[in-house]
Amino acid sequence: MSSSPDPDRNFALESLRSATASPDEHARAWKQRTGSGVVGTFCSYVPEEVIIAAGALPFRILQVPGEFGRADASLQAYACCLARGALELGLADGLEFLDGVIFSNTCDTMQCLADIWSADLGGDGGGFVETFMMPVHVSHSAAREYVMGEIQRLIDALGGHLGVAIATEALSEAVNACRDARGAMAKLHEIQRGPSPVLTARQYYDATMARWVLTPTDYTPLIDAVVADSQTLERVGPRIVIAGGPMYAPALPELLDDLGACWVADDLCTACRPSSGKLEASQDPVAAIADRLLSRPPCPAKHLTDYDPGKAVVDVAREASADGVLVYRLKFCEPHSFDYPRVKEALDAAGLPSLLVEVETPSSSVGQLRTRLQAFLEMLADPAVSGARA
Amino acid sequence: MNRAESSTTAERDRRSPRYVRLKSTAQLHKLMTRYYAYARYMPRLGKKIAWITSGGPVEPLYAAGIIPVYPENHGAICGASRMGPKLAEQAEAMGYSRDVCSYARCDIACAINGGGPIGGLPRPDLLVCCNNICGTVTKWYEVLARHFKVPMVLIDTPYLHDGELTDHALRYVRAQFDDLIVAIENVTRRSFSERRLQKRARLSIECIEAWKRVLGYCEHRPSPISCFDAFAHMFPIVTLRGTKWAIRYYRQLEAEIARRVEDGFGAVPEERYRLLWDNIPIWYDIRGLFKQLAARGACLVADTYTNAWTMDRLDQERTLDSMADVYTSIFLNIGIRRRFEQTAKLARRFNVDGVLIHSNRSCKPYSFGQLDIQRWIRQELGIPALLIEADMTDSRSYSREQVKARLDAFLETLEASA
Repeated sequence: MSSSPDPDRNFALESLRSATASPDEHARAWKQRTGSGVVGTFCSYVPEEVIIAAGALPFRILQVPGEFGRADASLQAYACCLARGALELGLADGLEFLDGVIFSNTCDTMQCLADIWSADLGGDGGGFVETFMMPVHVSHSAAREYVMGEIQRLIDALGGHLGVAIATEALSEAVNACRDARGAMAKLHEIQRGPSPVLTARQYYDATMARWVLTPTDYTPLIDAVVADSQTLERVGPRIVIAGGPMYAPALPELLDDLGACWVADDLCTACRPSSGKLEASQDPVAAIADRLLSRPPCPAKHLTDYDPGKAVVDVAREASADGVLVYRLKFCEPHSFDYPRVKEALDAAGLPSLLVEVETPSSSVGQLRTRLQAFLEMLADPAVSGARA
Repeated sequence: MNRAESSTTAERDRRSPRYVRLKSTAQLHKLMTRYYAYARYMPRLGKKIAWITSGGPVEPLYAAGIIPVYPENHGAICGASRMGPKLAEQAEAMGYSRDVCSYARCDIACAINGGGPIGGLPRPDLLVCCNNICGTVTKWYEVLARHFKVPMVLIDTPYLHDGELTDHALRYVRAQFDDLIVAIENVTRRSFSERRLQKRARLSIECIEAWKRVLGYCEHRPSPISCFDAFAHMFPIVTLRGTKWAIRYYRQLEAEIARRVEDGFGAVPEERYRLLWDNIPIWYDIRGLFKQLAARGACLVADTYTNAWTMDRLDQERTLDSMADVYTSIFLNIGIRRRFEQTAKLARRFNVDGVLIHSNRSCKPYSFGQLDIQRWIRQELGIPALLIEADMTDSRSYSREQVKARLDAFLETLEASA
């Protein structure tokens, strides 16, 4: 893949891999090293700036264990694996390093999980459980004032819990640090979707997922190092875009590498989508956070007047000169399921081949997935298909 | 008939009790037919149609002379007419996952392909979506807005985990009500009348009070009606709230139920157990469930579903302000602990012996949290609670035999502890 090894680039890629390979171990080590708190989050709409300003590490809970024995006693099996997995980990004491969790009203399931979490894992003597109520109606003129009110409420609640007064200066610093991290990531994405991609699919995965366990000040230099020494891939197979919800599945990018495909861009809620949005500096950090949350590409559970989810995916794919699109969906995810027919229709109309990858759990059916991906990539390589696209 | 024959008939009735329909049901059917005919034909005379979610603020629509139509009610009709699977499959063929709400699948299929038990709903001029019942409706209405190419007004009501509505949340909701008024003015091309809204709010309050009284009759022993009646007769409170039609109907219904009380008539012969139902009904098996319960003298006397339309605090003087508050604070928009407290209140008031919890694959916000609620019911109310798995409309996700066996075991437990 990459031609000559470079210590900086290699160190950066290894660090990103290490953080992604075992996020909970990384968080435990960070806590031990710094003596500071770790706060779990369930959604990219939770303003990480507030957690960082409180001196804590934001940790996005995405791991899904193999079984849900404990969780099944509190949450039905027709909830997505993300919700069941998080609850299982919480009940099995697998998240003991957390000093609290912050939900957002991501979807109906997460909304209910927040209540279940409070009942089963919070309460008297239990952990800190808070919900940041992100407006659904993000394009409404009243949403800004509302979301600013929610950010302030979160500042007060988290500061109170951790026993710190979150000062405006600290919040501004956190806003700037997160802005830099997003800016670095945006640069890397720009290179990757260009004519000469620099990351293998697994490296792309590590670079995006590490964002959810590293502080921005640890993360940015690593991405900068990769950008500064961007060595193009020796061989670029079919250019693939992945669109969908949270993807905590190294198996999929590894399969893409194995099968010779190149992951060039995404519209995922664990990668590009939450890293976009207004990045300008602002005098008022609360307003800056609010503006970014409202201007970022929306998750399907948010509503923007006249927003077309199909066009959004087609735009990402076209910008990346994609040969094909994988639509990645967790089973039982209603918001993404509602958008799928429109996304598929728009991709078909744009002449972009696509494959729906629905998974019960991130580790399930890898063998079957390999076969399907193989067939899809072979189809993309078919001159009749690529010729029709050209 | 001799004594032996009479005894046999009584025994048969006890084993397979007959569901005695309220006489008002005929009037209800007339009302429903009239309503749908009105909604279907009045657009020819220039009337506008709005599709609205079941927990949405309907009063401003009636105040502006717009006819509200309810896709969820339509979904329930699809379920009750047992057309759910066929329509759901049509939506699945369009690419909608089987894990998507079955009301939505049925309604989207009818909207796009036509058909269904009532031939589909009249085409909308406006979509009014209030997400106080679920996030599903937002996505569902986005699909409808793209299909019909009509404006969609979203009223986003932040979920109240601990039941407290913050000032900034209230201002946010209230501002969206202003948008609704603007959208109504755009559709009708007339200024919106606050005075007419107040009048509709007054009728709405009157209707809610009448509905509360109807449900309140279930406090009697034996209960003159069961929740199966409430499910059948909830159509006006959902659809015609804010009209005189609904008030007149409920007055008639109330009078009939009052007569049943005077006559000592019980909805279930030999009422022995009083149960509470949680969640939307299993529309396609209402009769089967009634018979199974009634055969053992069990009567559903209260439910969290029809009680969701007994909201308080609507103020006819500060109508829009109070609507923002009321519509944000409804049963499905509050945290599970608060939902349990309201369920417990119903359980105590109606003196129930047990709770049946419908874990409804198609309604995640109503169902997730039920396992904790079930535990609290057992621990804090000291009564048994049974969870049954089903789907409100799509009978493919329902095992009648399994539910029957679980329900039988539950009723035997009740008998044993009696």
